[in-house]
Amino acid sequence: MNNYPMDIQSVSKSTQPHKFFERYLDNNLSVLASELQDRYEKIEKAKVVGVTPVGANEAWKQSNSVSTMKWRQYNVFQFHSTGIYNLYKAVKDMTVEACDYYGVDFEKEKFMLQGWFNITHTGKGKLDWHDHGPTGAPNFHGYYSVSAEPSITYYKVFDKEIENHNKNDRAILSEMGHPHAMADWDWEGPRITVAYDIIPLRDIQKFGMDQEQHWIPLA
Amino acid sequence: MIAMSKPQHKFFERHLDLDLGNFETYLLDLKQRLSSENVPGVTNSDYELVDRSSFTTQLGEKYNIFQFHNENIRELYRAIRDMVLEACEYYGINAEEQNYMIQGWFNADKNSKPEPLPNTYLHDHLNGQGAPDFHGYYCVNAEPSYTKYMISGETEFLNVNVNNRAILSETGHAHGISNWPFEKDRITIAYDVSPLQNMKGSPEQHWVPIL
Repeated sequence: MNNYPMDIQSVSKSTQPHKFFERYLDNNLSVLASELQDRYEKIEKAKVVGVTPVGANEAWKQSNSVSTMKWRQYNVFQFHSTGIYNLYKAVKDMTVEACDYYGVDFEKEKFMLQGWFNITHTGKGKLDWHDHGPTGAPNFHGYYSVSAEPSITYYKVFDKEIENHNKNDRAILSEMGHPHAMADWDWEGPRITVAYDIIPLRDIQKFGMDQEQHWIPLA
Repeated sequence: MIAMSKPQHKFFERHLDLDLGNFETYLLDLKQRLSSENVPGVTNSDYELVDRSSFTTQLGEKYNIFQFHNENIRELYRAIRDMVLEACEYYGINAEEQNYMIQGWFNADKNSKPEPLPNTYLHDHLNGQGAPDFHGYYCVNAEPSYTKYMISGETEFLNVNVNNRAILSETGHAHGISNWPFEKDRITIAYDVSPLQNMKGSPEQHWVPIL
């Protein structure tokens, strides 16, 4: 994730009109929320393999979510959860569709996937304007709402600002290169989302995101 | 009603077209990195605790070969996925419902074994429960050698190894590698494939999905 000032604009060079791809899942959201909250506590206690104790200078501290701050130290798709596996399938499906839309050969790109989850609470932090990776398609980013209703995610798509009204159990995917930000979450209980980046294997090395034993294949 | 009998054992295989010289160089470098605290998740103390003669195998619980960033590994991952789908069809398993996960490691070593290979040198994977659990390996440099299988604990089968070939078998058929008297390391990549529901009790952040 890259943090941006508010006046930043899309950097995507895509000639195709921007499109959100989406899938509605049929997950048991209360089970999934419970699983993620359990993993959150484990991350907080550095009891997930590879996760170090929370330090004073963590990236994304403003999120107030340790599972966000530690996003590079685990991969959400390596938790043993049926709901997360269902999401993995949906992400693959959306990526295939997005490749078709942008004229990209899914097989040749040898996509890799990283994922993390965000748990935030009213008045206790959120993610401001940011983007993921430096370019547009075939680099993709998206998120899935476990408990994010009612809320909005703002997107700057080329010269327009778009309001994405979040729906629980829905996954979306967009090419990278379009900054976005969480709107306020004013409700009781946690706001829980799962986020993911999809990048061709060659670009992981090119863009210096080549932390081994973190990304997983998406094939 | 007639009971359906389980299909007889079958090896599934794919001949790949990978650059073996390039692959061998990559894996030998990785072997060096594993011994020098240069792979995330593998520490010097991990290295100190294992048998040096086969440490890339012994450290296999600490890394997953499919999480390294290498084009050849990625091609192998795709071939395994393809074999898993074929194997599921053969055994009448709905692959989509299994939510398969995979762990993989590499073996790069020299070993001395008696000939012929006694059965006491055989081993199995994932408690040998059979399909829908699968195990297999891919040969980078394993010619000339064979892998001895004891099919269903009864029938001996010598699998003559072919470089650049990946195979897959259901678990439950113990196997072991033959003597390797050569100067260069014998190099193979091995993998276990198992449904998500069988992951209970195994550590998270190690297995990766394969569907």
